[in-house]
Amino acid sequence: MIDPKDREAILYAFAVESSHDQQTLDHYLAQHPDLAEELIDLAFELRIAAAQPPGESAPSADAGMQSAWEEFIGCGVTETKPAKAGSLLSKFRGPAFVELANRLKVPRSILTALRDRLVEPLSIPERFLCRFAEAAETSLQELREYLSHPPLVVGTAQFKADKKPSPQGRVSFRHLVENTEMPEEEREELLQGCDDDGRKRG
Amino acid sequence: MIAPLQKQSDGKTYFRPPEIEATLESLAGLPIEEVARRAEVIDPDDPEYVPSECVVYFVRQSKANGDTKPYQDLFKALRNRVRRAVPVRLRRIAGVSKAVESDAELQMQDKVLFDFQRLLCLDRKARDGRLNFYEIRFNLALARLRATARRSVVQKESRRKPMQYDGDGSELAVEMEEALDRVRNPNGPKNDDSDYRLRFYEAISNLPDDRRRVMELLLNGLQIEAIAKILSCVEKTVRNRRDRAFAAIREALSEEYEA
Repeated sequence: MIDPKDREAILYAFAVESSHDQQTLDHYLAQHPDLAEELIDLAFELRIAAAQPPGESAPSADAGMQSAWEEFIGCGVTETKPAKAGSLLSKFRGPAFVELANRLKVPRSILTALRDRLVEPLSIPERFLCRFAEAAETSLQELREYLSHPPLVVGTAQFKADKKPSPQGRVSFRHLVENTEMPEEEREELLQGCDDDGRKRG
Repeated sequence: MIAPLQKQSDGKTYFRPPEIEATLESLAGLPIEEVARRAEVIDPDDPEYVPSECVVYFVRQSKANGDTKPYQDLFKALRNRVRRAVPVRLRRIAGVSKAVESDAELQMQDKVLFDFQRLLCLDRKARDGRLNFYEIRFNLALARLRATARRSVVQKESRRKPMQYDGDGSELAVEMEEALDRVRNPNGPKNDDSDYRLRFYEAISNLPDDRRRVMELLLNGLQIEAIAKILSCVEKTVRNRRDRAFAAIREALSEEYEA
């Protein structure tokens, strides 16, 4: 069994080879038969990348840029900030809460479920998390931390799923969105990049 | 002074290519604001273009230099390079008036960005050797993340759209062998059709993992027996996967669209 780090190094080494002809692939397959599937997947990816024309000169706006930067500079800080488990969204009350929901283009019931941490955090698509962090004026890292704490016990929870929530008391993001009344277009937008089974990508 | 980089794997040592080392040396003499400005240039033929390998190098220096504004700009430029390497193109599909973005490509881009960000963060916490490969050959290293993303996206798509196959045999096999030959030998007579090749690859990219792998090995010129050995399965399984792949590719190629 290869150590995961060595495994990664071998795959990256194959990727950066100067040639990816049959001989190179054969060599790696012969040396690492247990990595055959990943090497073949990589060979195909290198093939299609070489054939693809470069992307548009001006790709669409990068909605996650600011959050990504904040997350990046927040990494490796020796003294981590205490988790703001209860306070991150507490400033969004009343009209501010409604405005946040409007900014995110989600029904208030979805925002309530997120605020009360009733959604399985790993099931929330990255695209939506970035938008959420920006709208809530926080960093992606802080938002992830907030969502990873246990669900809040509140008497006023407005979200009601059609089915009984999972034993952990949380539902997947997909389940929540699919069972909430909203325009079909907005539903599709929210589900973009959403895993079917709610597992974290990667 | 540019920090030396070398990466060992499999008993072999990898270095930055000499042209990258030379570019880094010359950029190191410039103010960081100037490097950041030039990193926004995306045309590799522009004399001011900064190779992505160098952008990675400077982003990795951000923490040591106080994460100032130019480093934020470099970080932004780097994300843009990643996004361009995993493009989401607008397509005009027959019968649909508006050009649409491919949902699968959007998901691919999201996933690659997510994984690359994770790599940057891990590297910042404690130097992560994987990022060294991005200073050696950026776009090729990125293929590693694309491969992981493809598996995740295609799996979901295949669950949604079960593949149909009616097993109409030999005629299809002949047609596809010709297509494979056309793609394998791009310099042959009548074969300088890069658009056809790209459409062929894109059709393969949408196949489930097992069929896509058989097609990749066929494209490499391997025979059924050798493929079965590599994939640890019997030859009949390889033929079945190939036939199903052929049927799906033919269907995809027959769909008219313009990119």
